[in-house]
Amino acid sequence: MISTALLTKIRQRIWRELHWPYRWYLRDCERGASVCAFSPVQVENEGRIWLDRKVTFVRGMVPTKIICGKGAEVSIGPYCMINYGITMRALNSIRIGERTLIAAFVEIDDASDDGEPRPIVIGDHVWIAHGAVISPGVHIGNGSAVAAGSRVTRDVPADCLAIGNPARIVPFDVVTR
Amino acid sequence: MVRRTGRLDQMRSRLKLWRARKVGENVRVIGRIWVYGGGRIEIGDRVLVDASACPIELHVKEEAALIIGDDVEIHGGTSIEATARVTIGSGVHIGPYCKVMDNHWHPLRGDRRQRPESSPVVIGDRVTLGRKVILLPGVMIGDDTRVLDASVVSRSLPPNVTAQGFPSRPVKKKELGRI
Repeated sequence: MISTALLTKIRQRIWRELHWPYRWYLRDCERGASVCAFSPVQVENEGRIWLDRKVTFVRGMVPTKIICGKGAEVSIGPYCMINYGITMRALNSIRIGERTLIAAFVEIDDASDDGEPRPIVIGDHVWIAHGAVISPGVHIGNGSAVAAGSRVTRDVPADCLAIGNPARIVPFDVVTR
Repeated sequence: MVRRTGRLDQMRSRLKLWRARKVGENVRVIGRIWVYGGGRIEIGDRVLVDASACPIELHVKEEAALIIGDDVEIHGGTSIEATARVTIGSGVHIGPYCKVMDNHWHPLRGDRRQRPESSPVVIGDRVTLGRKVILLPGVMIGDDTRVLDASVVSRSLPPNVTAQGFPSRPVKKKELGRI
């Protein structure tokens, strides 16, 4: 007897592999095993983009855009789920840890106003919700969450919720929901 | 306001909304509309779905309901996600790239793959939502309220106010002149 969970896993795996033609959009990236895109992804790469294993680009209305400048680096950790309509622009470096969830219309841009790009580091198990904006030089700790529509301008420690515009930082212990 | 549409146009619009359980008179769909899930969708009369700039998503899960009233106008890039119930009153104007959701999809703590409980969203009559407005789960917006661009509504709003910001609060009468 095969369990239902295993069957679902097998079905998901087959579904991922059926979308292999979409890997054409990721041809400029260095990528690990079973990296999967379910929709067009616009990649402009003059530096280095590293997609670790099982990174998923979810299908949606607006294509995801990844721009990597000269000598810049984008690295996305394993098992990341990336939704549609994301703008990710790296002129220095953007690092995203493993199992991070990024929702639709998130903007991650490391080009600051003073002309000097500052690196963005996003930890493991982070959840960035719909329409959040991550400013240059921000570090987000492991397990944190960024609420929908918030603008993160300061560093977020581990296990905290960043909420508001500009974002306040609230530890998970204080959050009631 | 009566919007007259050609018969061919109406037939095409109805074909695009074939997943909806109930579609009213004079419904017009421009561009693409993506409907996911097998839930109940009810659309009132004289609804204009203008997806010419960007497609519109309607996620309605099984046993969920999305109820749209009369004279509603929805613009492109909007996605409405119903896992329990989303009710949109009549005369509502929803701007481009809005997001209406009644479930957070991931819990804050613990395993992010599980889904938390959903809480229904209610939008009153004649509400106007600007560009990129996000409605979080459990929000109720009163009648005649205006929500300005790029605000995030995380708490319920009273009727007949103008709200702005994140978390969005009613703007005071003194400040209204500046907006």
